[in-house]
Amino acid sequence: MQIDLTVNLSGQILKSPLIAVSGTAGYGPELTQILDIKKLGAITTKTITERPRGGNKPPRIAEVAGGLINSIGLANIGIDQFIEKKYPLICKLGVPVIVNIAGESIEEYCRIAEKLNSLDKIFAVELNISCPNISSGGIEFGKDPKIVEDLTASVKKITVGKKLIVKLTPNVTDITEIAAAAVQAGADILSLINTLYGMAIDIWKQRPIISRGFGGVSGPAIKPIAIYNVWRVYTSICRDRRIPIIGIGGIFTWQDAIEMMLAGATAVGIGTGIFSNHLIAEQITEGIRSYCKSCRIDRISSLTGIASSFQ
Amino acid sequence: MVETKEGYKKTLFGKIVENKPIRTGSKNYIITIKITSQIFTQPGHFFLLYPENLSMTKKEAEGRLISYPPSTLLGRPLSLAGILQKDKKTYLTFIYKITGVGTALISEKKPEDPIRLAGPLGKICFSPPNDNLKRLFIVAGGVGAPPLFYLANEYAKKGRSLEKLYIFLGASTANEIPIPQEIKAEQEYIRSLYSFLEDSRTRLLISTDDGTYGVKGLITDLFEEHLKKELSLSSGEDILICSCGPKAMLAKVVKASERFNLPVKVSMEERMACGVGICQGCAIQTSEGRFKLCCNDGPVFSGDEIDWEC
Repeated sequence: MQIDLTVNLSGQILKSPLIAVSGTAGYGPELTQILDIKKLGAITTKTITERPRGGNKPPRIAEVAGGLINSIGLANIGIDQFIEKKYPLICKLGVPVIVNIAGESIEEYCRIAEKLNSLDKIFAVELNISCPNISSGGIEFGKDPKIVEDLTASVKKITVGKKLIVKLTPNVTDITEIAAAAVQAGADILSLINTLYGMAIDIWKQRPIISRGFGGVSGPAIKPIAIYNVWRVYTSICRDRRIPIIGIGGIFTWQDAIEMMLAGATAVGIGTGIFSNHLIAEQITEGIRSYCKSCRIDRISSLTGIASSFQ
Repeated sequence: MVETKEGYKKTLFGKIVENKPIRTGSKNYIITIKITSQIFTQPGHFFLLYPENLSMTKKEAEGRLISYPPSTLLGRPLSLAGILQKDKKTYLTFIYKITGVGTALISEKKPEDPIRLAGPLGKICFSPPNDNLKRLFIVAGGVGAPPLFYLANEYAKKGRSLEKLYIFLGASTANEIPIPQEIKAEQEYIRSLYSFLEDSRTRLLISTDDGTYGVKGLITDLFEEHLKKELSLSSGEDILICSCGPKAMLAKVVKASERFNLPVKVSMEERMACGVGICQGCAIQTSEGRFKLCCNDGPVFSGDEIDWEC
């Protein structure tokens, strides 16, 4: 039985629903050191800002039960060096690439997005409005529906020939308000969730493990929260408007990936799982195939949202 | 770089050969892992060892395969202490301290248990023996010793011009010294780790915080004392200092070395997720006020590259 693993992400056909998410794939080329990227549908770069950023003081990471707290602080080389040094390498990857961007103002997001217009091999721009680890910008944009609408509309106006993805934070009272604002303003795709605020304290030093005190939690611990948020956004916003969701949060096994699609995701992000297991893409792909066989499903895309209307 | 599984360069599956406290009652363990491929490593290279229970991954429930996330997510970065290639098999030996859940889980593994690891990782290693070098000073704190044992062996084997090999080894107490009580009683993969001790050029000096073994006090004091003595014999042009251990110890070693204008190389440690430069988690502050990555710009650095104040 042939299983069709392709998914349609707002017109862009991906050969697999698996997407390496921002922050866990480097600029793209680095990922080939540890992972067979041909098993992925797409790769998302780490967040690119207008100017280079050194990132936060170490320690930047702490492992906790079922999760990882990070506070990297968007360390990156900046858009100009990205285009000059990394883009030529990205072109050789043979996998569709999404560039994730962040700014401290709407204008800054727009200036970065404009520079990406000329890069043919980039199929989508993802707005990071959900990073908990920088002092200005990032998550502050993602908490206010009005700002999300303005930002999305402004970048949409400037972006030519690329899909626009808005990446949402779960650190809000009602994620559907933010999702609705992004879709209203022209987002082609939503990705969710980014990390949740979290903190871990070294009880012997009696101070936080992470130098900035707190960070963003990822990993299996946040999967139920991610599934819930994807389900909510899918049923209340995306299903009727046919906006695809990239479901992200704690995906470690093929069962997790299936679950995420059943909740409403069209594509599934893998992040911290990559660090945990370099064979994750291959193992999830194999698992998805055998699941489809045993359920007699020939197209993976038919799973999207099946479990969303359960009543 | 090494191809290990078609297309993948870094993931290895091995079998535990031995895994035990290095001395009776020690919290420091020595583990040897056998892999069936040949790999090339240098002193300074490290591996990520994944604590998960691999023998559980093939279980089924009601005819359906179970798979679940591991109880600890990340690999534990351990510097290689020694490598023995024999009969087309590779024996990798590490020395580690139980410091948390991950290392505690690793310590539970028994001979024949499967283990997943990734490596060799790290871009900058200790340089191979060089022909102008006559005196090598190695300063090791506790389980910082493994990459330096590896280095000492390389010099003992290949350092043709080497005249003196000083090993300063500091530990909190006698139990924690990362050398087995009876090396001769150990298997070859462990014995070979300590063959530098049989070299006539080697001088091993040990200190413990509580005086239960060797000199009571800080290893850095012992190091400085002997360094001064050596410098009174002849100028330091043929000296290299290599160190690994707690950051406060490294800072002292670097300060002393700089005072005498001697080159010093240190192997660093930082909390790490990916080991290959992707996550940017293992940042180290440099003396220029920037960040370098322990995994990808190191783990071996020149002493003057690091900001020791922070």
